[in-house]
Amino acid sequence: MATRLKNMIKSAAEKLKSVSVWAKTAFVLWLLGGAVASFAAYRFIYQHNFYIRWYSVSYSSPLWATYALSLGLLAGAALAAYLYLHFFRSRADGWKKLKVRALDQLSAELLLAAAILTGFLWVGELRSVVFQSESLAGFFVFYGLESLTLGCALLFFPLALLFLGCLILLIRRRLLGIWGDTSWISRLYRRWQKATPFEKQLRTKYLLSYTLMAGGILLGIVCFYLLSTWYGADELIILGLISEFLTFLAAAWALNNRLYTDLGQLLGQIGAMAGGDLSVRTSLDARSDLYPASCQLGEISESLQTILDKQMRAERMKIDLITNVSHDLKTPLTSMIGYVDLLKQEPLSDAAQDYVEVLSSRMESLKDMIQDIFDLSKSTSGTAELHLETLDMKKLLEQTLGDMEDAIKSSGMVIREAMPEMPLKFTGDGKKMYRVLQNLIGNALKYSLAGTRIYIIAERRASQVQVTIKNTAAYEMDFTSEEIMERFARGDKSRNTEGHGLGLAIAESFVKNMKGGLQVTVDGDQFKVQLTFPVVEETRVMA
Amino acid sequence: MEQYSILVVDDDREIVRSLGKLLELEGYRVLTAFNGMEALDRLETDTVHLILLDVMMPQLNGLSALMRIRQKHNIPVIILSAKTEESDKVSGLTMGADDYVTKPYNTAELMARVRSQLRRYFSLGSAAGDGNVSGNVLKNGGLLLDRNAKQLTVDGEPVRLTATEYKILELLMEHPGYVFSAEQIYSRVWQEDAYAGEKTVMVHIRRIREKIEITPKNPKYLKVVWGIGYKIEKYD
Repeated sequence: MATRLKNMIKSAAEKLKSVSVWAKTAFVLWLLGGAVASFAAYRFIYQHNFYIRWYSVSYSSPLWATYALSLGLLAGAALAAYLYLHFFRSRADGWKKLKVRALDQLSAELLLAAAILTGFLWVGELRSVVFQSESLAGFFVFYGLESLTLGCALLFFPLALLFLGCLILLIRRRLLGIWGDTSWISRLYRRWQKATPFEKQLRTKYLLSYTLMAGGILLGIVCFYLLSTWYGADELIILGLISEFLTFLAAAWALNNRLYTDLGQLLGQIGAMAGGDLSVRTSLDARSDLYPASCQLGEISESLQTILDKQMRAERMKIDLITNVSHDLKTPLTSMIGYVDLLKQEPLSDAAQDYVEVLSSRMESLKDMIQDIFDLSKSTSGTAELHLETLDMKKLLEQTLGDMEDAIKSSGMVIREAMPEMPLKFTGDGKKMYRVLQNLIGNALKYSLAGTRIYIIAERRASQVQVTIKNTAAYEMDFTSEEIMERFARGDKSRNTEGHGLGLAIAESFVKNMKGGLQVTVDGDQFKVQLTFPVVEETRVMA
Repeated sequence: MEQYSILVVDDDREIVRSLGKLLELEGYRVLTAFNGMEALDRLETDTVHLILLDVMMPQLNGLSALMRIRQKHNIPVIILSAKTEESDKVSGLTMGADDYVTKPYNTAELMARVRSQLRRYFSLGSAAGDGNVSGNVLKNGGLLLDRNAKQLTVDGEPVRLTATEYKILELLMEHPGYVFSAEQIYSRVWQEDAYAGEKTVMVHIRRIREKIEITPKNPKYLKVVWGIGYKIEKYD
């Protein structure tokens, strides 16, 4: 027990050591100031009563001297504290070590009020002793001078401590330079400065009504209070009733303004716009505070609609152009293919036959390319038709692999698949997805190093269906993942292999249209394509 | 054998000329027209067995011409168009075309399609009608599945199928238009519980397609519903 107490004292002493000298001095000064001031007050009351009761000598100079002394001590203590801190501040930046504590967060106005209140109480209590009016100090005196000691200890000493404490806190605040931050008025003023013109307009508009309300309520309270003491004054009843009526009117005006209704309508207008309805115009009264804002919103809608219309027209023209160009390319190509087929049936030399074969195969790839460019343009312009359905990525992959079986066999590549047990449902256009997978797997077959394996992994990652296709490139990949995504980019820059480099671009565009993601990673010789689609949670099992 | 007359309608003269020559080499009589109006005139004056019709033409475009043709004639019409969109094909076929071939076409494929249409309309018109009544024959477009003889003919040409292929096709043809999943096909055809996987079914589907379709890559009957299953497209 004793050792525990010892330890506690020890730790307390340790803590005390860490407190700065200035804080200790201030604390001692605070206590000392309070004690001296309350002792002075005690002396004053004692002397006063002494003179009045026993010597019947009124208002002698020593009496006033002690009165002044008690007040002077209080004020002097404050001044001393201030001067000390003032010089302390100018000296060696020691004050910078001050930290903002919980008490420093109290409102400055509250502190000021407390200081003024305790100051007034001090002066008032002392005066009340002089004028023998009812008061706390008088209460103590009533029981005889002997109780004065207790009275001073319980009343004047705490009062002095509170007063001095408030002063010290206010001075701290000055040192910390946080007057502005802790003052209500200052904060209000700052907020007002930052307020937008609209906010200022609204606040001034309703300031009058709120002031009227507060005044009316106060007046009402005063009237009814007087009424209760001064019975039967008709004027007061009337005045009270009128003030309450005015209060009610002010409150009704302040609370029943249309601002909230109008705000709701404005939000509705914004909501409709966000939902894609650009035909919404203002439905507010022209006198409403929000009328200009609502009108401006309407104008935004209108210009947005104009821009959209323009863009749509441009888009449609672009599509028409693409369609026409591809039609214009296809028509001559059709007759070229026809004549080449006719040529094949003519008796030709071996060399000529060979040339015709080359022509024929080149025309086939030209045909594919024109179609691919057309598809890509339609897809990137977002006008391609999509038939969205809930698909199973697992099935789709298996079907594609089954469909490409011949190509896989003839390429000599080995494909390693990893698929989960559960279906991987997502939303997409089946035919387009087939094309995407066909392009990606086809690329892997085309560009893989002989003897390496192609990995196809389908899995569910959080709320995503993810397909990863990895292969080891046969050519050095001296391109970044961004470069390979560009149109006409090819795995081998020398362009030895077949294809025209649109496959990946088409795949990416299709996937994007289906709200999926396609990511290409090049890591050394490993080429990796990752497809991601948001998973569709299965709600019912298909029969 | 009777010589069939084919009307080639296209505003591009070189296409008409080359296509006409190719058709003549196949043994057809060729009539030509360079727009819709001319095509209608030709039909008035000549006997035509099949029309190859372009869509984008001056004066009267292909689709409008097709509508007018269908008011009077029931001959097969194959649309030749540079438009490759699914919606273009659908609108062409719903307007009454029998087939839709996109330009630039593969000559061999186009000839096969012409042959197939002619066979369906003029060689087996009556036979198909009889077969349809009998319950043991499944008919869908040019596909005829005789369940007694376990024999499939495509546009009148017999096609050899393996037992598994036959069973798959029979299942699909019993419910034209219905999409079967691989599991369903597997359990009905193989009648085994252990499901060997999507790929097994897909490989068989592909083989069947190679046998019954003119262009297996762009099938008319046996379609893969990607990511879902398989079906036989329904035709009259």
